[in-house]
Amino acid sequence: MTALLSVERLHIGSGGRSAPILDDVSFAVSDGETVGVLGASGSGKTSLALSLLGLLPQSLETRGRVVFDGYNMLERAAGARRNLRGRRISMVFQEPLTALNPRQRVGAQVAEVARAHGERDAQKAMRGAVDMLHRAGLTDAGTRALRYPHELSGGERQRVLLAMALLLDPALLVADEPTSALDVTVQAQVLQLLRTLQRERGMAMLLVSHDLGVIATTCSRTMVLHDGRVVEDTATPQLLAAPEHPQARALVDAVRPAGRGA
Amino acid sequence: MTALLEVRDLVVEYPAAAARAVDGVSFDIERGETFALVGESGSGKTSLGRAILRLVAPAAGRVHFDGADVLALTGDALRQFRRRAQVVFQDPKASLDPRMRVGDIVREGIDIHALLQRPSGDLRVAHLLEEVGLSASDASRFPHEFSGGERQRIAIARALAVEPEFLVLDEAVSALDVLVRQQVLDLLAELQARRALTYLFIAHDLAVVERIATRVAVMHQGRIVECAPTHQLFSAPASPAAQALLAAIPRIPW
Amino acid sequence: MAANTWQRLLADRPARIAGGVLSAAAIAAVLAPWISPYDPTLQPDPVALRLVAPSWHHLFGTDPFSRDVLSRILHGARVSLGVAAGAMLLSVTLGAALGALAAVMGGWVDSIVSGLVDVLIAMPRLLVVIALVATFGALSPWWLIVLIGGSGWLTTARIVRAEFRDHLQREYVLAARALGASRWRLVWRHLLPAVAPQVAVAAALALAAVIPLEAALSFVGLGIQPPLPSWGNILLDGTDYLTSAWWLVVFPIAAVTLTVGSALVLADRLRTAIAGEERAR
Repeated sequence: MTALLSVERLHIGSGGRSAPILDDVSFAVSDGETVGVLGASGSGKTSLALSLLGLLPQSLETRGRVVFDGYNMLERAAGARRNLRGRRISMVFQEPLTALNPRQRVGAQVAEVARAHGERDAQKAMRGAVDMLHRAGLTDAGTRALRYPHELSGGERQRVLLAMALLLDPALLVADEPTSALDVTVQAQVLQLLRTLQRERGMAMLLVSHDLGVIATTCSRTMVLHDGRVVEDTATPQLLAAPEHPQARALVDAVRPAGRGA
Repeated sequence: MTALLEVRDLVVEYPAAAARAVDGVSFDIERGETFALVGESGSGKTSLGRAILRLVAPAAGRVHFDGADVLALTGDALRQFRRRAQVVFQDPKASLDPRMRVGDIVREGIDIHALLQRPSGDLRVAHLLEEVGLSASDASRFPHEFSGGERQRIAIARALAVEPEFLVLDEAVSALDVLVRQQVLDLLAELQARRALTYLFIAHDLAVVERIATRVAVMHQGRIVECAPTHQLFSAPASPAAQALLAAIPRIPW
Repeated sequence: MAANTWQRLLADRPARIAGGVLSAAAIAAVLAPWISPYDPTLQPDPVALRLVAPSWHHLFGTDPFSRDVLSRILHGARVSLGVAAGAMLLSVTLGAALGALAAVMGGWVDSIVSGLVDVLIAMPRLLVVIALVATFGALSPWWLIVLIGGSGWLTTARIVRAEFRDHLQREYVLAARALGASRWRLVWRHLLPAVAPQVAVAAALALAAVIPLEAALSFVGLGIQPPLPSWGNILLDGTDYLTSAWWLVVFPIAAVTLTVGSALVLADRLRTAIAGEERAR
């Protein structure tokens, strides 16, 4: 099977000032696969997520290739890359309040994704948006679609972001700390939703988090990122049972209940 | 021996809000224990913590600290209470004055209470920074030069500077990475043992309090709906709110 | 690394130029008695030296009374900028003090200050000042400072009150309160440093508003009275000779434009520096 996404020797410099943000990172994601990227803050995991969509700041020096759908996302012309984003590859961010436009109703923001990809019929786009908000678990989606972001709770805003990301049925969802800003009870609901939607659609997912608990309950494979390098890339049960790299061991031990030796 | 802190029928209301933020809450905290207050956001736990410290004025109820009526304190007695009861907030980005150097932030309490003169105050600041795992030379730097975990250590050093007996830890580790969170929790446990501190530990995540709390109170819609020793609450949660919080902890398939 | 607002401002080229222009104007004003080529009120020869065009002897020419225009502009700067600076300092200090008081005290103090601001801000400032001057007659520079400064504190008060109330809710202020900090300690140690850049913006804008206000008052004959020169009344002397002696009009207008423009640039760059600092944190 050929990979949906393949990252080859990706290097992101930080302008020569200090160590590179990402250093020689290579991995692949197949259709329908769920992969976790586990790392502490500063490990480079957000830069990795952004680079997959070609969203890194222009000022950063990048080497290597990020091949998605046969195209190198680091090189593609802006227009062509935009056409892939939202349709074939989508992203949800950590902080749903800043990722949404504060002055636009949330339903319109979801519908805008369809319009940006060629949907001419505004009413049809809005119906699709409300339907997607409903499937993303927003209760009373029809009326909530008319609200502004600040009128919704954190969990509801994250559902709006998910609806935007999943509206066009992408082949790969990149989720960067999608639940870190949420209460644990809301986090549990959003994770459940992510798992359900991923399974229903057979979509591949790259879930970035510092929390092994979030990744281990959602992803079949886990990569551990440390100081810009992938120090471990293995099946999740294998990581839980026998983490090899010291950083991986530290991250596993941080959530291991007392009395359970490795 | 009486409890260090006694809270009775405490009510906190905000003018704009329809419901009471805290709606008749009572509990005791014994000396030396870590009392956890857990609930979803909006359950009133932060308002409760602030009302105990008199950072917001409660509408009704009583708070006794070491036998003294906290809500009736004025002048020197209130200043004395502020020295003995301290707080660490959730977001160390927001809780440290970005315009002040770390040394000045940590020594603010020492200055306010005129505990020490300049040279010995500086020495105390250096010791405090080292005690929380930073270095004495960090005193001349600014908060934005530090990581989240380091900033939270600065906030802890500031609280410890006035030699308090009681600390309100208001979501003090919630904004931190799992690894850093573990380190700060270890630091808090170490400080508690060394300085005989009493903690009120506020969190939305039950998993965080499992290792450090002696007792857990679960808050829901302004009320405490369950209060039990930690192991009991984890093994047999009685209230729906506690069960929901427990179910929310990701169950890793070990 | 991330610098604070003041360091950012110092590193900013337009801000440095604007600051340089204002400093040069201020220094020229202070040194006017020593650097002026002539006595600004001396009328050496009202016939032969009347309305002489700019030349090496009189760089800015002479006026209808044979007085040297450059000397009058320099001495005028003393009066015009002195009144402007005084009025600006008064209005910003008054505004910051009242705004801070309203935010920190709250309750009835806040009600009174805010109510006063809401009422006064609707009044047209120039008309009120003109009406007062018309009632009490021509004013000394000191009274002009009191009048212009006393009517200009409203926006500063509003800004300081709003900023203070915002910062009072922040956790670093709560942490200081929990340490037992008194209200005045909060104000001096935390709140004033936090709002100082905003107050500086208000001060630069106040300066930009007050310089033309004084000039306008003097121009209509209600401000600084001859023979004391100010940029406004130099212009007034020149209006009758608009077509024949351009130098009587161009130089005072240039002086006002340059100083006001510099103050506006400074305010604008200061805002950019504040935004830059906030983004860096």
